[in-house]
Amino acid sequence: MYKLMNMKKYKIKVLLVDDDVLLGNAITRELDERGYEITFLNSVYGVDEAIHRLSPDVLVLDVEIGKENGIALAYDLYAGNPSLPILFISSHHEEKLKEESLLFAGAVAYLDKPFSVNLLSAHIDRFAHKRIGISPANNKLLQKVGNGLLDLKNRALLTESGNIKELRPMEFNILKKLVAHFADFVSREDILYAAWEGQSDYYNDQSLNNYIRRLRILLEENTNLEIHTSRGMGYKLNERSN
Amino acid sequence: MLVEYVFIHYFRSYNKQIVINMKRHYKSILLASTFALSALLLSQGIWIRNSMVQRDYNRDADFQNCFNHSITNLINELMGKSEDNSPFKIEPLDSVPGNPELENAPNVIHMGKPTASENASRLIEAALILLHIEQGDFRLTRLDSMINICSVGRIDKVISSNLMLFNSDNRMLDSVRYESPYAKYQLSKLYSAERSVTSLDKSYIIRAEYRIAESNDLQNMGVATMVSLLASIAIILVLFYLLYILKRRHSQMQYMERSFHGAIHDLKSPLAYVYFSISALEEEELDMRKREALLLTADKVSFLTGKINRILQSGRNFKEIWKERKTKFFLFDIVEQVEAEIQAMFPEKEIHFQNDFDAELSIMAPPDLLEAVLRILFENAVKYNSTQPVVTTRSRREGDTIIIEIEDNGYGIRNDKLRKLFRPYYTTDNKNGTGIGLYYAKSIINAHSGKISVKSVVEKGSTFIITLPNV
Repeated sequence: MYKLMNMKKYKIKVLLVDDDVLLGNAITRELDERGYEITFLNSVYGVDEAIHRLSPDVLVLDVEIGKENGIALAYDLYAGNPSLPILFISSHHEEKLKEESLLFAGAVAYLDKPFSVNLLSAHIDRFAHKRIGISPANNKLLQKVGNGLLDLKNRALLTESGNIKELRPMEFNILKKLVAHFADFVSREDILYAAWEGQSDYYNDQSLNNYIRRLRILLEENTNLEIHTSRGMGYKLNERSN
Repeated sequence: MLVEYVFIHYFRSYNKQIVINMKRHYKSILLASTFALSALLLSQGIWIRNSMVQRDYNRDADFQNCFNHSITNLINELMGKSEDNSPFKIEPLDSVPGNPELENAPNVIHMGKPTASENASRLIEAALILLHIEQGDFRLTRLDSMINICSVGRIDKVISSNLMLFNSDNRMLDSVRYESPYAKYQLSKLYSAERSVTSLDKSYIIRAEYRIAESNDLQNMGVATMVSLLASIAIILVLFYLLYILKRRHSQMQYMERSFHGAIHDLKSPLAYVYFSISALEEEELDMRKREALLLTADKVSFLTGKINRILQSGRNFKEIWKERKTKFFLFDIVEQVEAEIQAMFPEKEIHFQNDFDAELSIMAPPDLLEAVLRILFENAVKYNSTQPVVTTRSRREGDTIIIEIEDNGYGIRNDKLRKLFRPYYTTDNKNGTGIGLYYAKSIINAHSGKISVKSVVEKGSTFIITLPNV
């Protein structure tokens, strides 16, 4: 309990380094609203100093800042602060670059631009909690889903291998409903109700089918769960029997 | 969208490839021609040098002969005043110096050791020369004019001459000199010959040193060689200049490529901002319909970013893209999207799409590549069709392969054209077709060891069949 209280009071400190001022400001604004203590630098100068002054829980670093190579910078920062988790953000989608950043710079994760607020905060939370020492079991905002975790705050699925998958609000609602009734059938009506949060005017069978299909693929690729369909009974979430 | 994809892929990677290939080929052509020209010049030079050595030797021999003949003729003249009524006649002795460089020279006659009779005639000749020198009527001027006659006749112009008579003490007794006023302006060579005559108590040496103008033919040849050397150098320089231009063009292309990349890359930043902002808005929106609309907008932004990334990577080959971007997705989602796009492309047509496959059928492939293939096939199915096309898509999994069939009720393709259908730039429709689409589709499918084939009946329609390993 003490830990939970502590966690609520504790503001996660984030240092953001990105040369895209527009995006940086938007991120700062949104994360600030969500209760993070965020500092934004739009160049690499003073990063080291800022780390020592602020001692952030997570460093969010753009891979290509101006002409500087963020990876080389990260390597130095990592050498100086080996316990600081680094989250790379980049609009480069080259696999080689990703491997390089993860292997050589000790970065903890790599996030492709464009990303949503939720995906970013889900990443930050995960690594900040790990650093602060809050275990998933003590975290009320994480719910066990098979061998993965459902991040209730950031609408994301944390997989066993450490990947974070974003869920659309409807997908998230459906999954939450199915998890709440784990291994039980949930009627299609209940699912529709959950997905659209009771706004029955907007129910859409075709969309529901799409969301269920997406969830199926997501769960199949990332967890040991599967969604069972039964005519007349509805949907059921259970462990895959291999 | 297809046009953009195909265009960018072909234009960029193709052009780059052509320039690189040209550069490589050009380099080898340049090296080969440089080598050939220098070999040619070298062989010409060697030939000219050999000819010159040979000629010098021949001329030397000629001069020696001329000298000896002149002495003999002078003796004959002195004895009978003419060759016809002289009591006997002395045959001139050919003395040819050996030349180690030209052992088997064809123009040279080796006399070998003089035979006994030759020896005797030589002794007689020497005695007669001695006699006439003693008598004082061995006129060097006469000898000089004789040498001049024979040497000008057989060789070229005499530029300077020096004919000398020495006694045994090496003291000059008599000499005849001549110097041409044009001596300086002529390319010439010094020829010398001497004859020594010895009796018991006396000995004399007759020495001739003649400077004779060189003939011009070999010089001309040399000049020609020099000219061709210069020409070759000029050609090689031009080739190098072209190589330099090609190199510059190459780096210009690279620069263009880079700035193109930069410009395209810059498009991504605002999109990242828009996507992030929409996601934040969506989070705060409570009306589910508005949320869905915002999500759709975010999807479109993400789609655009994906498109930009594909453009940036379009120079790469399909095999790599298959390896890297293969993911699992529902065929239905893509088919549905492409169908909507095609309908929008042909607003005047009333297209009826039939999807005869399980909506849950998933495929392992790079979605954008498969999308491109489907777009090409759907577009053809609708384009070469009446105003009411019916396009049927069937798909099924057979073990580890996925089979996709796309059938239309269009104009069909004649049998003789079916074979050429997948060739690049082959088209039956020169007005609207580029002949790239099907080739492009085939390249994509082949890159993953898949197959694409076609069946067609004229006036009934065609069926394209894709067989793809689903791994």
